Amino acid sequence: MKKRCLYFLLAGLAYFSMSPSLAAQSIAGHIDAPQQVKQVVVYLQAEGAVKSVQSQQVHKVSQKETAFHAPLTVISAGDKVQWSNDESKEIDHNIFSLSPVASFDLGLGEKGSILEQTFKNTGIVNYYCSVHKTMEGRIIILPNRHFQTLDRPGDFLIDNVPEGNWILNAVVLHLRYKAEALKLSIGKAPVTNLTLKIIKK
Amino acid sequence: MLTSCANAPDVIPGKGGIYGRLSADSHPAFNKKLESNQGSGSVYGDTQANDAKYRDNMVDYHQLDELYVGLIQPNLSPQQHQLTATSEGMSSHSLALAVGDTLQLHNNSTQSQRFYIAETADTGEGIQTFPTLEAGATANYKIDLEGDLELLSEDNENLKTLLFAKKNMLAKRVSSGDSYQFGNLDPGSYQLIFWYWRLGKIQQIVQVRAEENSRVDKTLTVDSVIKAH
Repeated sequence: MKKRCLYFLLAGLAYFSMSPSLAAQSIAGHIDAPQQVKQVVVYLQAEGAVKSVQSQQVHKVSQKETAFHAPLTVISAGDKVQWSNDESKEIDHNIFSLSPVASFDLGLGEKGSILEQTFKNTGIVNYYCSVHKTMEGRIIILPNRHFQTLDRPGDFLIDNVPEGNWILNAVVLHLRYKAEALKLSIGKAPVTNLTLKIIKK
Repeated sequence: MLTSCANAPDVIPGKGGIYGRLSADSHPAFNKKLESNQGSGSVYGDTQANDAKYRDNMVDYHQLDELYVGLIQPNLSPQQHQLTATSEGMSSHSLALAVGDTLQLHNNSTQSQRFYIAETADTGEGIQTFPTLEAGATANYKIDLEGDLELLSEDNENLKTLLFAKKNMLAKRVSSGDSYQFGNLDPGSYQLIFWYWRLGKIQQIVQVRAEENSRVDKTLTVDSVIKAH
């Protein structure tokens, strides 16, 4: 029995030593932005053609008291968003978008219903309920899961970034400003003390 | 609801015209449910004969008053559009206009404003900035950017007007169900654009013939706009 366990242990070690590098590091830094800038989504984009396989995630948005909760959803390309009608009264909602990234009309959803949409392309999708005036939501679709959403500019930390060349950027939810993207080379050590500047367009 | 009453332009020798009626309507699924839920037990409130009792937080498409119809025509003279800013907001939520048109902005708020116009597409970085407009002052700004834009202020988040700017477009604002007309047009092919900021746009090519008026009625709904998208 002991011999058999040792055999599997050695075989496992041999397998992982022959596998492609799975090294991953963290990236940390600070967003330097004017006070007018509020919500930002800092993200990494692989430089060059890097194919990564990632399983689809499902993100849930609740419709309650004629509002989307949360109004902002950040996902990765290929992910699905589900809108659940969680109203306490019999109130119907519709979800539609005219965004160039994804235009869709999910019809009318009654109390208790779930409507869903998969997003293949990266970009920003603004969506609405055609029944209710104030129901507006936004989806930011990024190329991968290496991102962090910040309610206000400040410190950020992105974990498990594979080795390679990356571009650090941010989606700035203020039309006057944009991020000054940084090129990064991620090796075997964590990257710290980065400063990502938010500047006027 | 469309009716047959829409005024055609006067017929001018050698010229033609386009006219019609522009409306907005609820989602067809909403209307269908409304039909089957009439009465005091309706989920939409007390309803009678397809007439929903809209709650304050609902969109009453028949009451919308910022629908636009734009006609693309060459050699168009620049137009002037007025907007007033107060501390609470702008005088219009949306405005369709031509690239090269002038925006006359009156700052009726209590503080100076640094207005700017930005492209709203997430890939667009176009920005047009204007000199600081002091409280109580009025200034004219020429529109250089094209497409879906927002007029905003760096000093007050409440100040926001959605703009749709297109070259050579003469735009008219109507309320839902109102008629519009473009007269004195040379015969030829014209592009019409119907727009409501929340429902997007529908474009249509119209042939204009001499001594004739072409009627184009349009109803903007979620499904019709998305089909055309």
